[in-house]
Amino acid sequence: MEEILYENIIDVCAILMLLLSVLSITTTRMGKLVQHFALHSLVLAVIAFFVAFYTKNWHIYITCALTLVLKVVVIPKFLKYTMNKINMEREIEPIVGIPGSLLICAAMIFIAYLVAEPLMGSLDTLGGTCFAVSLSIVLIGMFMMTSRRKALTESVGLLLVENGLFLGTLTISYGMPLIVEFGVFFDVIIAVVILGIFAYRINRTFNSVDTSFLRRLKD
Amino acid sequence: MMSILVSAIQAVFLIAVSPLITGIVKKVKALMQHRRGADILQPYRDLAKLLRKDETVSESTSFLFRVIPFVCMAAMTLLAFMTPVFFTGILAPYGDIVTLVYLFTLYRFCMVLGGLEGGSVFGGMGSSREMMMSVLIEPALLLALMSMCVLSNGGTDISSIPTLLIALGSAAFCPALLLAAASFAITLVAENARIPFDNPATHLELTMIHEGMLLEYSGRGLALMELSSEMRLTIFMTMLGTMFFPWGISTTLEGLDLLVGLVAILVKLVVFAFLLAVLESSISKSRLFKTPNMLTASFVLALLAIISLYIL
Amino acid sequence: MSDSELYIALLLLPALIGAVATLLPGKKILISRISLVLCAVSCVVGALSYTAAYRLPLESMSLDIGPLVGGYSVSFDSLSTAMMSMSSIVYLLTLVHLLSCPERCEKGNCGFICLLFMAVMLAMCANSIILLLVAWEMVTLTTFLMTKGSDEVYRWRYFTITHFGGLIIMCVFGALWYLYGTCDLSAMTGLGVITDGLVSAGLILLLFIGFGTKLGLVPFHAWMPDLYSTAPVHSVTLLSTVCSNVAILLLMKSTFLWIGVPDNTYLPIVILTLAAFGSVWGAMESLIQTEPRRILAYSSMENMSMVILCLAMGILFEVEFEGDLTALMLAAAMLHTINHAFFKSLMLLNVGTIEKLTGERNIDRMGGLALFLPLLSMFALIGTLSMAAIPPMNGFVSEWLMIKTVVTAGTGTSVLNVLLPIIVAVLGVCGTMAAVSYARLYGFVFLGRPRSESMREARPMGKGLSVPLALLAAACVFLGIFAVPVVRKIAVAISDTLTVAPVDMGIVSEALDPALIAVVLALVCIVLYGLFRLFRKDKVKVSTWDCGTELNKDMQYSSEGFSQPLVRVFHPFYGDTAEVKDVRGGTDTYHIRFTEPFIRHILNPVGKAVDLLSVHVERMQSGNIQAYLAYLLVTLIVILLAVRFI
Repeated sequence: MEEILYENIIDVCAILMLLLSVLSITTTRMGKLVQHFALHSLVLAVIAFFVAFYTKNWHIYITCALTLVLKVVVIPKFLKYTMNKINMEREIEPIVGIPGSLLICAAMIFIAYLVAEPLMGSLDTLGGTCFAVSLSIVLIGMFMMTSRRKALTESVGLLLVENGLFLGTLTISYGMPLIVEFGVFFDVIIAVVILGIFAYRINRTFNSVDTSFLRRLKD
Repeated sequence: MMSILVSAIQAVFLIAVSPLITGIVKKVKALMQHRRGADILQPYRDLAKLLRKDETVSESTSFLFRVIPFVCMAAMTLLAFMTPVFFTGILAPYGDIVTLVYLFTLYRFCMVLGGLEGGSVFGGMGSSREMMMSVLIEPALLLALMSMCVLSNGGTDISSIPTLLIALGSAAFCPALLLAAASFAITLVAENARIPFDNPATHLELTMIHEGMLLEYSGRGLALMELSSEMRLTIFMTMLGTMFFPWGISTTLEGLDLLVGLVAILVKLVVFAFLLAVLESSISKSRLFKTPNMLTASFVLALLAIISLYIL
Repeated sequence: MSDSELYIALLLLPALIGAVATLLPGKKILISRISLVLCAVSCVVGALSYTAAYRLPLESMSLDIGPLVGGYSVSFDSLSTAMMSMSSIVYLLTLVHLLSCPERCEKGNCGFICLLFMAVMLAMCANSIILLLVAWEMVTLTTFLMTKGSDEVYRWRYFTITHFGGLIIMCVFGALWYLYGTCDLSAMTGLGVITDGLVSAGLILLLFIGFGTKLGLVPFHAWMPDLYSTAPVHSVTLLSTVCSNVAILLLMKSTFLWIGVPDNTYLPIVILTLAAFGSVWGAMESLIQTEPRRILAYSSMENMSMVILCLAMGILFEVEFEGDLTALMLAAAMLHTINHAFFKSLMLLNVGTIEKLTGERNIDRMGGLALFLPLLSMFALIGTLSMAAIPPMNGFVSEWLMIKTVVTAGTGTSVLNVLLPIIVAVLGVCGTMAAVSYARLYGFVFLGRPRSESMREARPMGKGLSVPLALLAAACVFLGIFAVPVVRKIAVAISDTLTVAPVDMGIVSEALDPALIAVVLALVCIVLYGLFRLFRKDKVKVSTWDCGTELNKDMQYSSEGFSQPLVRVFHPFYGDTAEVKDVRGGTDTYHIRFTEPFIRHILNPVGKAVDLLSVHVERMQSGNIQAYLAYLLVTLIVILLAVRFI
């Protein structure tokens, strides 16, 4: 009985995460996008908390806390800070229009389902059915990285991919060993910081954070 | 026989209550703008006044223009018959969800032809925009209803969906339901020409869609058109209240259950009207070419609703 | 002489005599009228085929022409005869309409019409591969010859594309002959003989492409709009309705009966993708056309793609569900084909009548015709409502059946789980988009104020023109309101003829009663009207609200403006657009010109490649006798080696 309750809560949270990823694709403002990411991570932390509570694994509590601190507070703060620092316009410039992006998202969710479907039956962990969701979040994050011009949106896409992967590991195998997770968190922070500095540099050099300017570097 | 009677009562109830719902929406909106606003019974008085008036008809209109208000009203009456309101049993060979969507198409098609009748620029503009929205609304509506079929394990009948949902108990309360309801709610707002898709309160050329098509109507024709569009809003709300959140609806013909069902649907309608008014007061009318974003979102939500049944 | 022989003689001989009669010298009009009347007699006999097959009963029979392989045999199953009856009725009404357009009755044209009727009937009831191929080729050729008067480029484009399809069909049936070892079609039962699923999947796919060239499957629709807009309207009507019926019937029979459905999900998915794309594309393109006939051309493409989509869904259901819903899906396809024949012929003849009475072909010069030709506008309204699938007309029932079947299928394997919602979405989008396009067609031709003087000067419509239109309109309403028994008949015919499980009619009869819908709608209208008559109020005629200025003919929405919002929303799909300035008539007008991406990006490159290839081939033709002998030698050696080693 208890298990079904947890299962339900995790399902709802997973769908919420999926919705938030789709929502981030539709947002046209940078600030909103960062907020969506923070919420996305918050929901992830909630899932982690329930998984930890159910399995009584202390290391999942730690990753949960780390998610809360880093992804809900620190990274969004840092992104906002970079935004203000480089005075970028708040508009995100998508390469694919919003209706088009939405339809592509739907297609990717379908693909994720088709890929995950044969595996889903064999997973008997709590929330093991979230596999397809995590796969679609990864795909959506990667789509975001490919279809948005600004360097900062690309970093948010990367973070979404990371959240998707995290959801996957959490629900398939109750998380990775603690040391690996520390490594991943560290990587993410470094990636975001580097991307932030990168954005700052691009801005300084080209007076815009539009990465399509980087194409000029190819010759 | 009994179910025909109940259907008739439900239809009459919907017709009777729909101006009231519009009145409530208007009143709440007025209150939120710190105006006193008109009485919630004002729509009834408007209709009564329109019915008493003579009609003016453009000389470039054909017989179709005079027939359209009747057909629109008939389509809505038929829909009112089909929709379960406080009791789930309805006339069986009616209440298919696909038929339902096509009856809305009938209504819209007639309205669009009516808009083109007078040969005025406003009518053409309203018709053109309405058609643009409809292309995006209708698939979303179909998919939202289809996801309810799948969720309720195979009922494609409007009356069987609430019954099956109630039978499912708490298992029905899953993400798919919320997603489908969200998608349906967006189509509700869009289909009924509400902010942010259209502004029902203005007659400003650049913004109007629904009102543009009604511009040439007057007197009784206008009364029928107004009443049918008020009914459309109420029917949509009723569908949201009985198909997506059926709890409270009566599945038997017993007095107490029916009473509970009646109270439940009234409460639901008032709550939806309130929510609609809050929504309309809190956001602005968006640009016409931004509406596809929201409508695609509704479409994707409906798709997600179906797929979430499988991935979870 | 047996009943069947008598029947087939009655069916074919009058048309044959009519065709021969046009070769006689003498009074043009009289002879062509006689031949048309003779053809009409054949049509009446053809219309009775369904009843005849049931009552007499008609048996399959063969004409033994000595050493010719297989003989020319025909057979009458209930599916073919149903299609024959419906096609004959449409044919008959088109002929009646043609009879009252004397300027269209040329001798040659009438002869071809007689021949086409024979070809169509023979193709539908053919029981041997030879007869089938001959009849199909005759259909293609006569329709090509009937389009005389259209631009030569467009005619030859039609000729080339449909012959490409004809070639594929020939190859497929040749392969069938080889595989079964007989050219008797009734001996082909599909199951068990073609053991390799891949082979039958390939054959079916090729057949869909082959018949798709005639039906306007993407990307073979390139001939449609131009030919429809320039060829004589009656030829177009027959081409769009009766010939499509033949193609769909043959597709259905060869897929489900002669070849047999392979256990393979990729085949239906490939066809589904093509058909879904084609139907949405047809609906989208019909939205931007400015000639009624071109709108109808794309509408044909859309409808036929939808039918092909149904067939593909039928295959998919057969594979996934073991035939539970297949028959229902096929019934939807069949019903839609029949309905399409009726509403499309109604609309095309309507457009032809408008052209005859007003001389206008461009939608931007029409408008307000409902006031000047009220009867015609009634018929057109019924046709429009049917095409737009508005309840309770016939188009509604078939679209309802398609969506209903897909929704009922609900869930199944993972492929279905993903496909079904997408199919519902596609059907919804293209249905609504098509409805927009037809609202535009009716609205800008019949409603509003006239955009040119020729509208006001429209000649009155004669009886000869209005009777066939009235009958077609009545058929549209009838097939809509009494759809449930019709669906039942079709479903029985399908499960009798094809190797699919019978339909559970409860899915339809418990969910839909168009008659009831019609009655309630009519009742509410009548009650309201009665009430309004009882408490009468005055009606004042005024001019349309004009904001204080005098409205001239151009001060109303244009048809291009009407579709503008949708064009803007879907602009990535429409491809290149160009604004064209038109300075004729003293005032500058602007139009938007669309180029079909398919013609530009697929057909034109193919044409160029062929040109290039022919240049290279030309080099081989050196004129040197030794060279030709060398070719012969090389060919001989290759063949000898092939015979030895393969």
